[in-house]
Amino acid sequence: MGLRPTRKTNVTTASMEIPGSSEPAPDAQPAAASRALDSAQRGEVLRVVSVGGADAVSDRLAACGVWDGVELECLASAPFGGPLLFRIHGYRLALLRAEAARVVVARSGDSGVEQ
Amino acid sequence: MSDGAADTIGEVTGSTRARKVALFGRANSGKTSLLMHLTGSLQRPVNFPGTSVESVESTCRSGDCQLQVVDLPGVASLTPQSRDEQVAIDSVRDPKTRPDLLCFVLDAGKLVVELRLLQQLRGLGLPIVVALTKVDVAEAEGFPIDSEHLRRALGLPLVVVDGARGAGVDELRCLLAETPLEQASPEGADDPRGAATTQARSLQRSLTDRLDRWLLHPLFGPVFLTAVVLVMFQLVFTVAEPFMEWIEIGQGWLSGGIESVTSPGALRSFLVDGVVNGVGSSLIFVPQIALLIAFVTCVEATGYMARAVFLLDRLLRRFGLSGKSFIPLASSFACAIPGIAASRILGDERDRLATIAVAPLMSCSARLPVYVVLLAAFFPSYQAGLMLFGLYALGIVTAILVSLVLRRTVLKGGHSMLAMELPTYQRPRLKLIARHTWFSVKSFLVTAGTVIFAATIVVWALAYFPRPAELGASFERERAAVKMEAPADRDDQIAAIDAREAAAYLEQSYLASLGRGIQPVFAPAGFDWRLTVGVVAAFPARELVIPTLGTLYSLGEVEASADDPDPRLNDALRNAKGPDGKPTMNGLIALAVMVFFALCSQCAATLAAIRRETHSWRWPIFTFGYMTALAWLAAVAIYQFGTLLGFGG
Repeated sequence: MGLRPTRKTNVTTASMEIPGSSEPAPDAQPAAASRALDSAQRGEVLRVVSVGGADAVSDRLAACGVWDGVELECLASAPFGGPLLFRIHGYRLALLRAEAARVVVARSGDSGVEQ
Repeated sequence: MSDGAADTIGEVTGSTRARKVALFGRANSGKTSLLMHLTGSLQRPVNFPGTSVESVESTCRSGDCQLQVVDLPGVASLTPQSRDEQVAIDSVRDPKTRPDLLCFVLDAGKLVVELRLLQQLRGLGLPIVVALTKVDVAEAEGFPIDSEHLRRALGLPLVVVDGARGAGVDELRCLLAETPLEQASPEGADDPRGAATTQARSLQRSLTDRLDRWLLHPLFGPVFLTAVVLVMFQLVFTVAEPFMEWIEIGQGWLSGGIESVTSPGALRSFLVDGVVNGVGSSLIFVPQIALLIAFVTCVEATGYMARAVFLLDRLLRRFGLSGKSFIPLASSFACAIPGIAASRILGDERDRLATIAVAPLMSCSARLPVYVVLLAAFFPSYQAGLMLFGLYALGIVTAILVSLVLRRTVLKGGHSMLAMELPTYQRPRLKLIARHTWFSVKSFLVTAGTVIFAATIVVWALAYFPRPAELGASFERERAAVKMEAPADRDDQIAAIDAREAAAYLEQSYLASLGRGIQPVFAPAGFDWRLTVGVVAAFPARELVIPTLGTLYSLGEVEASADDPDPRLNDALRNAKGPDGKPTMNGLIALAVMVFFALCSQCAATLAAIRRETHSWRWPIFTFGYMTALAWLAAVAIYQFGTLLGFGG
């Protein structure tokens, strides 16, 4: 079992208590800590600050539940700069890095990952 | 299914009401299996006018109400992002096609996201019935749904169903029949999001997370994926073998039966070489296609297929394709026809067209007998295995190059999106897989089978006619002479005369004239007229080359079996000599022929499938043109450079 990651996740974040798309995020401050979602590391829990652009990609992200204020947990990343996998609204959503780059996020508290 | 399902299909009588219901929901929300449970197994494909988008429709009865239920393509939002979504949305918006009632299939596993879509849907003003699916998934993921709360909050008729097992379907059928058809009722006062409560993750959720740690692991994930692909090939090429042999045995038995009740002549030849051979040529692919589709469906049902797409997306994107191209391309190693049909899952039109255009380059199972015969005849076994691998690799590498060129020229631009759900792992339902496989095989036989059958009949007619009487008479005299003498090996001698007669007829047939006329085109590749006739006969269906060459070399009937090539054809190919006494075949020419077959588009059924999927003649003509040109260039290059380097001896 040498391949098994040693990090232990214990995420209890409730993804259902999140405001809908129409409401602005109550605590979305354009903090210095905000960055693009494609920089997410596995185990990180991030909160969406904004989604850039107004085109097919942003429509698609909205249809998938990537709304301001929503929390995402990064679950995996495919090898060689491949897509990223997130838990959002309690389901698993895979995004291209280019798609994730549209999403500005801020760190959402401690994810419970012991590095 | 039961007899009850058969009852549901019938004429609408005077006393019944009819209702048109559309199943609306995301891809993977379980619409299709819900339709199966709702209406039984009697479904028919629906083509949306002016598009190649296909769906299924079926009818069922509840009380005095006849329900006509159509399964719309999956939709994620009312702003369409793919052709399929466009068609689904248009069909509920257009006053001419809109249904009386929408059945919204709500995936409880992502309640909040689904509520946004439902909100948009209410704006259409159609009455809506909600079918709440996957409540077990929601519970396992840590947010059990209170369906009573949700029903109150939405103010819509709602029923909990289990798409996989069929629970709650009777209740849904009643609701669809009885819900009043006036304008949708106003929304309830409560917040529907409150229907979900939060609790700790259950065992099943952590199971998916734990499995993903391994199956999406940067190192172990790709290793596991390779193993899955190897199992698939094993199924297609090894497990299918005995079933294919049974079909061959059945074909031989049927031919024998026809020969025993008919006299030699055009009718017998038409029935045996045309009809029975044509049916057999289509049926022979069924075991492989059925196993492939069952396997792919099973992998899809477990939730792993989405993981394969996730892992391969980056690699395939470099080649101008996308992760979702994996399923059509892998399927094409068995047969390009189901592969091309599978390209529908690709959202982006350019990705889809590139995938369709390169899918026939994957070495399908019909090419294998050609490779096996030529490799066995001209190469020692230690080289043959490596060369076989090389021929498969040639197809893949060419596909990558063609796709890169296409994406830089005619299919330039466009960026396909991924943004897809990776579902919770689930145990596949055998019944649903069996049904899906059955529908796919039926569709293959209806579309591809008829084309292969027609192609076989055309090649038969070209090879059979004309029949000059004096030719037959001369062989009849020879046979009579042998019968008079009655030597010990009488039967063998007569069989040899029969075979020479068949070859003589074929040599003066329209097919041979065609081959001789075209031969100069293939002369730079080293093909003699016989090989050219074989290649020409193989254009409608490549599997026809082996029997044609068998007849040309006066061998009588030659089996095109993959694992056991007829040794007589090997010898005949090796020993064939031209009019100048020099051998007409050697290893170099055999290699040129194999490369030609690896790259050439010799399958009318594939072209018909491309025509159906792209809804224009442009793409089948383009695919045929570029593949044939590439095949010819490669064959000529191999023969010319090989001769130059002294391999031609």
